Amino acid sequence: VKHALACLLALLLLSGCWSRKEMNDLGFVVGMAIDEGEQEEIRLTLAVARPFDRRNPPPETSWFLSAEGKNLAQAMRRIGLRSSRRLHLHHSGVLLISAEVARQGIEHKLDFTLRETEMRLNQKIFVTVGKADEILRLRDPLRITTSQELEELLRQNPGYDQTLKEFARAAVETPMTAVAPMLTVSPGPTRSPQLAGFALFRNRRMVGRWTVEQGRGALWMLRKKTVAVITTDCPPDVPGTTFSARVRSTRVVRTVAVRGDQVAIDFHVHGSLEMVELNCTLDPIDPNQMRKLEKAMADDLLARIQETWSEVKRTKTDPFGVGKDIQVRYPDFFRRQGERVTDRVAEADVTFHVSIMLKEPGLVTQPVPRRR
Amino acid sequence: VRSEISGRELAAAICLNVASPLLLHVPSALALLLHQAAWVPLLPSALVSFLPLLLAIRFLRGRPLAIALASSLGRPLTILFCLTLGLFAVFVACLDLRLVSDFATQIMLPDTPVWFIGLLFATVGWWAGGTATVRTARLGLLILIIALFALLFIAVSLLGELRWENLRPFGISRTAELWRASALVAGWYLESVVLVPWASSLAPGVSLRHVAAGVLLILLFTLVLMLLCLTVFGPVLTGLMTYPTYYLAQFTTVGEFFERIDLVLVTIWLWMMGIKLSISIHTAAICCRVIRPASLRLHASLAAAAAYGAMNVWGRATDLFRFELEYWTWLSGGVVLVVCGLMLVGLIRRTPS
Repeated sequence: VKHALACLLALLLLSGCWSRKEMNDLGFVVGMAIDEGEQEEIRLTLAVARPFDRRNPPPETSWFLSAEGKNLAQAMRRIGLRSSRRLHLHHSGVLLISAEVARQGIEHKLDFTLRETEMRLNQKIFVTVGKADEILRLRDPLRITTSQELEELLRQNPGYDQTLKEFARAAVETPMTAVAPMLTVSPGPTRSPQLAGFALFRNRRMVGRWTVEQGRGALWMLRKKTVAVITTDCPPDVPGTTFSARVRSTRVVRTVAVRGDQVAIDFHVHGSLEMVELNCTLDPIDPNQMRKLEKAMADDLLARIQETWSEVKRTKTDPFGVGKDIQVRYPDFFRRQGERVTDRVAEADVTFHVSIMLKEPGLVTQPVPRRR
Repeated sequence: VRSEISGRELAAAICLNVASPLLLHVPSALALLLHQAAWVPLLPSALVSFLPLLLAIRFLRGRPLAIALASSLGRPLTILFCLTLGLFAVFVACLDLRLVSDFATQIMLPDTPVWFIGLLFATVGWWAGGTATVRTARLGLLILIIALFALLFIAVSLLGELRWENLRPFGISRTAELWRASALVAGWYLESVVLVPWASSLAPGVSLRHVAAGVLLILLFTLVLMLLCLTVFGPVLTGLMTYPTYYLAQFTTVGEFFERIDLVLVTIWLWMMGIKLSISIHTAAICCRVIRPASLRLHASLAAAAAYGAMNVWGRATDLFRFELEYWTWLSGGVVLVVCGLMLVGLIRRTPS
């Protein structure tokens, strides 16, 4: 009986042969782009990795398939009608949504991405300034596929990194406003994808955007790890042109207070930086002179942050999650306000305190002497 | 083959019996009800839900089940006891099989027919239950250790993703929600009542601390997963997901070369469910033997009955989800009341003599 049982159990190991999925039968989708359709609501483009010999790569490493449909599922099915391989979404690394589609609302797209079991929540999400499929189809000279290029772009600029999970979380929660990095095509002969600020969402609809300049201030406030260099004019009483410093670490502490229906927010922003270029004639070893530079840089950063906040105020959004603080500290007020809490945040009385410390002077102690 | 169950094996059996179904739907259901405070009901429910097991150790310890029941309860009450527990055990097996079928067909084996999964687990139940109860528990202990390591790995990998502001210990808006959520969790914990007949096979060294160890382990297990779900996904997204813990594993990657941790977790999970199924079917078989000692091996037929029920009781996955949210607490609570009541009657009858 034992032997018969062992044989029967061993048969179960063969279950992999039944309903098998061979590698050769799968089409690995590496990126997706969603645009407005011409005849129907949605135009979906999939970038499918083309199998090739690494020693002899073909000119086109991805195969692009597009179809229109009333929704994503229909478009996906129509693409499936043209593919000889079973399209496999598990390895899709990027999801590009055009700004036109984002402005109309992304509820239905989010529903598909969360409901479909093959979609991974750690794929990166972008909103594109122009057509999303144009950016997906760009031929990248340094990487094998554009989606790989985009993933690496985020690795080099971690402040812009936004996963589908993080985006969906912010999009479905009441006091939060979702933020997604924006992409455009770089000008010039070498067309490649380029980061172009952030798209701001409210109620799962794009309502505004931060430009790259505004986005610089936003990166600090979003408490994201930033790889940034701040370039500022020399202080007025110091001869010279500009100086630049690389961000080493940042800290943002915010305090929220509610009085009646009025919300007051205090932001304390602190940055620790390292000098990378100094074209101002002063002695960086002298702490008093260094403080002048720190003050100039703090003023510059304050102006950027205020510009960032002006867009928040205009679009009535809450990208920094202040509503969450209100929910924890003032639950009654939060319940009373409901969805309007985002308006209260945008209309809040806001104070920014910015302090900068230039901790490292770099590998030289003095500015390089200027020609007379 | 050793027939006694050691303390560690009992602790593992308690964990496995509760963990596998608890991990699938509970985070989502609790997040829907209590949002940021979804982890709070886990604590009180765990403390009260294992009282039947403590009672069983006192009632059945050191005596063969059939003799203990017959001498304390008499024939009619013994039949009632075994019938209630046996039917409940088959129903639990049916529920688990349906859970695992839904989970596996949606996540891992989309083209596989449900009856195949039923057949697979029916075979596991027959083999493990039919050979020796102890083997099931020992295998369970091994799986539990693997699962704990997997959980630890996931927790460490997701450290950068944790958003602690998503947790709120207090501030539950309505006490009724807390009660409902606690009852919901208790409904799942109370499945441990299927281990009651096992109390007559416990080794001499087994004490209440082994039950406590099992309870604390499963509490730790579910609490960590619940906290991870809430801090990584936030309460709203957790409430939206059918299997948030699966997504948790899906979100975990090792570098850029090992991206399918979810499959490892799903495999462990299916294994755990198989063990759980075999425990339930074995309990049902024990109860059948007490009612009719001459009966032959029952595991295969009970497993087949559970497989058939799993495929026919709930037509849609949403029916099952609704059943779990609305009726499961009452059903398991009712069964536990009957079983505990009968054990108390047995204890009272036994004491004067």
